[in-house]
Amino acid sequence: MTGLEVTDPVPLPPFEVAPGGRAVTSGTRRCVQAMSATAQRMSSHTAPPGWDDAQAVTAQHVLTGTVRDLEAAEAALHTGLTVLDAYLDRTDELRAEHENHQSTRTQLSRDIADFRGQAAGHTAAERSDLAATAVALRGRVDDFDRQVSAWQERLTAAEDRLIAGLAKADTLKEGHGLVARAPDEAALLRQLADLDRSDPTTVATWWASLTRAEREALKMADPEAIGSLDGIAVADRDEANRLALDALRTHLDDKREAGTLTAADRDTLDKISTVQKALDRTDGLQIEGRVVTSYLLLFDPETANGDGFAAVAYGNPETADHVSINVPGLTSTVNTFGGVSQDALNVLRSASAQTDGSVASIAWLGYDAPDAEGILDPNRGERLTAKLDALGVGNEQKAAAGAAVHPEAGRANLTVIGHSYGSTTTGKAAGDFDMDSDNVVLVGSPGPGRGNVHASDLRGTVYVGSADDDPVTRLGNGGSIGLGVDPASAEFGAIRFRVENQEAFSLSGSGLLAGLENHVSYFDSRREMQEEGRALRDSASLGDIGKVVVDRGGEVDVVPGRTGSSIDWWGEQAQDHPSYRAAGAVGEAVTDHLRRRFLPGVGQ
Amino acid sequence: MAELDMLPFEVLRAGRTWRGLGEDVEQARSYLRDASSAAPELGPRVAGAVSRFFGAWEGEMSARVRAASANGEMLDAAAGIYVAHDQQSAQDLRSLLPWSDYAAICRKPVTAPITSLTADPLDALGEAP
Repeated sequence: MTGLEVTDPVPLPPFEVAPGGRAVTSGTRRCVQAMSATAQRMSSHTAPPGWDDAQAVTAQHVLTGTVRDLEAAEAALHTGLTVLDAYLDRTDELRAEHENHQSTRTQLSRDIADFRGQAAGHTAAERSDLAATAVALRGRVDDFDRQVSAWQERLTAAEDRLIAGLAKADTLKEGHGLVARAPDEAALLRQLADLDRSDPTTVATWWASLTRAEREALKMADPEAIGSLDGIAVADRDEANRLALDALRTHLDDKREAGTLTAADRDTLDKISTVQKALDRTDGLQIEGRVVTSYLLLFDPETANGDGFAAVAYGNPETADHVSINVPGLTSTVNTFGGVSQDALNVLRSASAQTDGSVASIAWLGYDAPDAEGILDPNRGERLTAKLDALGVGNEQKAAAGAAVHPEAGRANLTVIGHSYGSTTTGKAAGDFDMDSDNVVLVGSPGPGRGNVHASDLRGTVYVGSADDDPVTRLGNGGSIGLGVDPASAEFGAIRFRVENQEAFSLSGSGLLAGLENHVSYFDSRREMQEEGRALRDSASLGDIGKVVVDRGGEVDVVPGRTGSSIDWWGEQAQDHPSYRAAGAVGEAVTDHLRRRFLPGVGQ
Repeated sequence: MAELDMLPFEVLRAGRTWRGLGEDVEQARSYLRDASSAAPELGPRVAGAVSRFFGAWEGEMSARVRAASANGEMLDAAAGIYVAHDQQSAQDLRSLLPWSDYAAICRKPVTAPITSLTADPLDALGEAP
């Protein structure tokens, strides 16, 4: 014994609970919901409650007996669902701990290997220092071993609870016994009806006060209401919304089989498919060694004149250290939700690569984006502000609503990223409606909303990304029409970060297409570029947006704000275009023409 | 008395009720089967217990599906016997009546005699579900 021996940390046991285990609870939930609906439908054919005393009569009524058996199965499966859900919640925590333990062990093993290298050839003078290092390393190994042992015990306890819970509900007799102890669904629905739904904090506190079984019962009894109710925990909203989405898909599939599908039904199926693909993006996905889970926060295919609303979170915004929200722009509908959901996932990748903390990235289409007619809704910014608060990620709500569900969660660093017209919505939310975010990022912006003439008019630190050859960013000029000033201008005073052009813009042919390409390239990732055969690099803007999201905005690649006017810029473009030149058009006429093309109806 | 007045609608409806019940429970069972197929994802130590739990309830539900189907078929068969008996009775009764009354009881003639109950009899009669 030299006193310099350090043993290896214990091997980390494998963690074999897959994130896909949630399929067990979602399938069970659908089954329980179907059983409940069947039992309710059949209840009119059964002996009424008053007959309960006449045991001999009701016992011989087969349909009554069958329905009561179904109710028993429903109660038992409901119990099973509750313990399964608790198990999965627990194993989610254990998975995160396992990931941390893995990192710790890797670092510890590296430090031990380094130490052994030093110890192998040490001199007498170095011995006392090495001995002290050995003691410290042994202490770390002991700590690690204890933590792993405790982790293993927690996993075993969770497994034991699940096994025991299921064993109490796996016979018909046990099911009949559980019927009387099932949550009073009618009473819960009355509570829901009486609730002040306008206050997410009240809703969150009420939701947290319910038992797990009661929450499950409400999710199945009225999934649409629970899925859209601000203040409900994100994981529960996700489960309720998925249940509603599945039920709607089943209903429409039945109609398709019956040959009664309408054009509107087909559109709804397209929306369902688009949102499902956005949710499925995280299947088997790990980013920076962390499993990524998707949450369906909002799904309403019929609202906004049929455009629909949808919101998907990648990562849990209630518990993440950093939360970003992507707000899409003009002509966005749920049918085109694939675009903003890809952008949000790209932001997640970029941000996660630049922090040790956790990140959640939300694709949010919860406002009625202007369509081809471009009708401007002055309340869009207000809606965004309200929704951010409601998601429990707004600064105030994080302390109230979010904490009611996740007391351990601290306040997140919140960044709202508006693209194109979404930047106008974001600007209005931060400027006109006091949206409480730490950072506002405006990319491809035609203006932050009239009235917001300086970055200081918006709450939070304002960052702007505008490609020089993105024509949409040249539409803001602060005049009597349009969507406000150019936020990339030096006068506006935002932090402008570098954005590369893909190709040069011009007013004809491929130049126009290049301009549009520049407009949609702010979130390009290396992966997408590779797939599309373009230059192999992450776009500079995506990297800088990621920095802002993880609270490293001070490190973005700052470029000077624009100094020339947008009208002059358009005039320069017109000089190179024969039609405009022949017509003697000047910059202002071209600006108006392009504004009508890109932002029809706005400011008219 | 017309033949249609003697059809056992309640029996036909009851058959439909049982068949519908069986289909609904079968649908619910398919969701449970989906859930059960993901049981291995929950970890090797609990997967067996989870599979047993789902297996027990799948078994109970299968039994209800089979019973519902059998009950529906039994009611359909009973209705078929009633209909056949009713048609024979009406014909026998009619043969006993004076010719002047014979036409009177045929004011609601059955245009498509119900002799087979392989299709839904209520549909054949234009009866709404």
